[in-house]
Amino acid sequence: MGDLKYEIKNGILKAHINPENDLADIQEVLKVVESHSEVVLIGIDMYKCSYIQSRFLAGLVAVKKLAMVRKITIELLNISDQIAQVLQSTNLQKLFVIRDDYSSYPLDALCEKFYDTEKAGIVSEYLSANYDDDIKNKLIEIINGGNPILVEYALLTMGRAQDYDNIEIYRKALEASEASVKAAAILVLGWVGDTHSKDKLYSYLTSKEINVPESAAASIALLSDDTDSEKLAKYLRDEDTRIRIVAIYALSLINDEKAFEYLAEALKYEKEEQVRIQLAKKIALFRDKRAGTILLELLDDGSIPLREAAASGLSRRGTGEFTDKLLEKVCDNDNWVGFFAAKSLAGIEDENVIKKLESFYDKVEQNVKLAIVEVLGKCQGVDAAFLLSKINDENEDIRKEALNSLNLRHGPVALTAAMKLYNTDSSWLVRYKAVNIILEQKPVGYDTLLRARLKDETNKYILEHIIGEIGE
Amino acid sequence: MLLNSIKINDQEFVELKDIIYQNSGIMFAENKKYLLENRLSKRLNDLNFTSFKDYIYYLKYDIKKRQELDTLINLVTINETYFLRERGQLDYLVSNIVPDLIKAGKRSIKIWSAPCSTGEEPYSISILLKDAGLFDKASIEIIATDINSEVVALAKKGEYRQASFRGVPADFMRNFDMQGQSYFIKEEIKRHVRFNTGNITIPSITAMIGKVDVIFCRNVLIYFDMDGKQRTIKNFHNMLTDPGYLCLGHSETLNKISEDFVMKNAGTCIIYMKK
Repeated sequence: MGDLKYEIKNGILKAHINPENDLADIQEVLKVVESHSEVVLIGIDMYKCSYIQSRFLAGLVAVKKLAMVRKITIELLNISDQIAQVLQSTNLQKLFVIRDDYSSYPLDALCEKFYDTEKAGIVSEYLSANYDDDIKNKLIEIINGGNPILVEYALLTMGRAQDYDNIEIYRKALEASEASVKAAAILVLGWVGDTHSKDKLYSYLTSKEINVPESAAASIALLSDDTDSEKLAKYLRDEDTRIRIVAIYALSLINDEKAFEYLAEALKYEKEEQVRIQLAKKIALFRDKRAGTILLELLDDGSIPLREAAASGLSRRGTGEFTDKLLEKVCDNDNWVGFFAAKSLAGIEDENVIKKLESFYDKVEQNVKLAIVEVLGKCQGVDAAFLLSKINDENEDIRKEALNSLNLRHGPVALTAAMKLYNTDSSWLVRYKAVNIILEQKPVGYDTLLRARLKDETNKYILEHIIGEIGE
Repeated sequence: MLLNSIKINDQEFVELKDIIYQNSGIMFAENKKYLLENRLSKRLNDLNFTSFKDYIYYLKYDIKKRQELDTLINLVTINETYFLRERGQLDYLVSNIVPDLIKAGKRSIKIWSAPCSTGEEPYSISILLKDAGLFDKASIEIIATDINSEVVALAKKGEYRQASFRGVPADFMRNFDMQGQSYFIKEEIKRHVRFNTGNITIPSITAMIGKVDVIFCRNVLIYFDMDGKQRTIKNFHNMLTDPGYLCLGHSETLNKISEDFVMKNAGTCIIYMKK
């Protein structure tokens, strides 16, 4: 038995587990919870454990049971991959909310995580949100240490924390020989608004180094004034494709009228397909009404990827633009153009348009059918009958999507359908969606209904989902 | 470009992890959502999608779904690594181990990178050995092994994206030819590396690879259970010459796994030497 360390603060019990802790210690957690009615959240911090004993696991399940009775959320914090595997293999994973809690880590250990490609960004964000003199001094120490992997994230963290006091450090880092450090310094100078560096940043736009031109584009946009669109537009005619794409990116970030006009003009003379696709994608990000017209014209272009990019751009712009033309494109010979065209109609209220969309259903490919069913869930005035007819479709995704759309527009009808499909549908995807709807609407006796089928349920995701929500 | 990641909701996560599991046997735990978001957001953006649901439908209903499934599996299952990762050991290899072996009269030296994933580690070794002029002083062979044949195929191709170049100095890039968004390793580096497919935990690997002077096995043991760790290290011990060097990841140790090695502090890193 180890010495169990815990604290209770603002209704949160946080127990710090170490490898010596055993069943008796986890039972101690139970006692603490029982004797403190103010506890509303339990965090079991396993930062120091690389493995878990089966008896300890049994103890955790006991804590979970008590937590469910008391309606307390229980979180497993900072579990190792090995422990995650154990929880997974024992089907216990869903019982707990699993997350990282970086407040458990000493600063040195956190900075070590900069080596981890997947976690470096999250840790950097955590450090910047909790930025203080200790963190600042540690990051400066790292920068002075010169390890480029660590320096990159130390700079990004200081930038995210809006540390204006160390601009000279960022400027100096522009001279680094590693592209990743240089790119980080460029970004940070943009974030902290260092307009004095802007002219220098232009020189990086044509760099061949990885991520350096892209970072320069982002920072120039952040530091831009009325003159920058014109300066950047010159790069739209550069012979290097990459630089043209970088200029498109920068202008889209500046996002003013001049920038829009330069991009619209570029679309007239640009010949290369991949650059034209980028132009279409970025033009879609402008609120300017002319953008919609340009994208609409591109729907008739000879390039399928460009048409798809234009249709996707239109679908992101929301409702109200060019309904008739988009409706026509739902039946396009390229099914992804049709897919995006259908999605662009989300939010329409015109009954005639809705009826027309429904009438296209039988004429289009499966992915377009799915988009139609999804979009109908986002349209006021949609009749339940059409969606209800789709919950018997032979395609499981259609049934799932129809259930979802029904839930958005006709909650009670969806609930009845969900309760039926939960018990009868052969697809776990549909049953999973049904469980979600039941859990969301929580009708009287919902837990009994869900529990009743547990013994017959064979899908592990559904089992985990239900047990995680209502217990066994 | 510098993208914000697209968030995956619970239903999408369950569906996508099932697709990955059905096609690769790898199951993503609940706490790995961020990994899928990090690695796939760019792909979704390239395909014009704004949600994981749309991407799942693409995987199921597009005419090129088989090809996209391969792309997905590669993106999410390949351990992300990068050139010159944990450089201290690489520098020590080039400045101490290999020169010492040559001084001791060795004319043929074998360095094994296992698992080699997409090849960043063996190619880093090759580049540093070339820069130090060591290929002219002895016959040095770099053998690179991974259990995943698709990963080995990618390594042989030698094509890399920007994520593989975290923290590399500018002059390192002269070893690559840039084409579009890709960087191809030059033939003069490639020819020193021999790739093969194999499982480092089984005894037959020793016969397949033969005796080696140096083994790089970094950031892998953490994924094995104790039995797997012990079997692997035993294989390594059998394969190493005398002297033989073993390089593990900076957070890995042989403590409680094997007593057949002695730990050596090599300045900024740790190296294990065969007893």
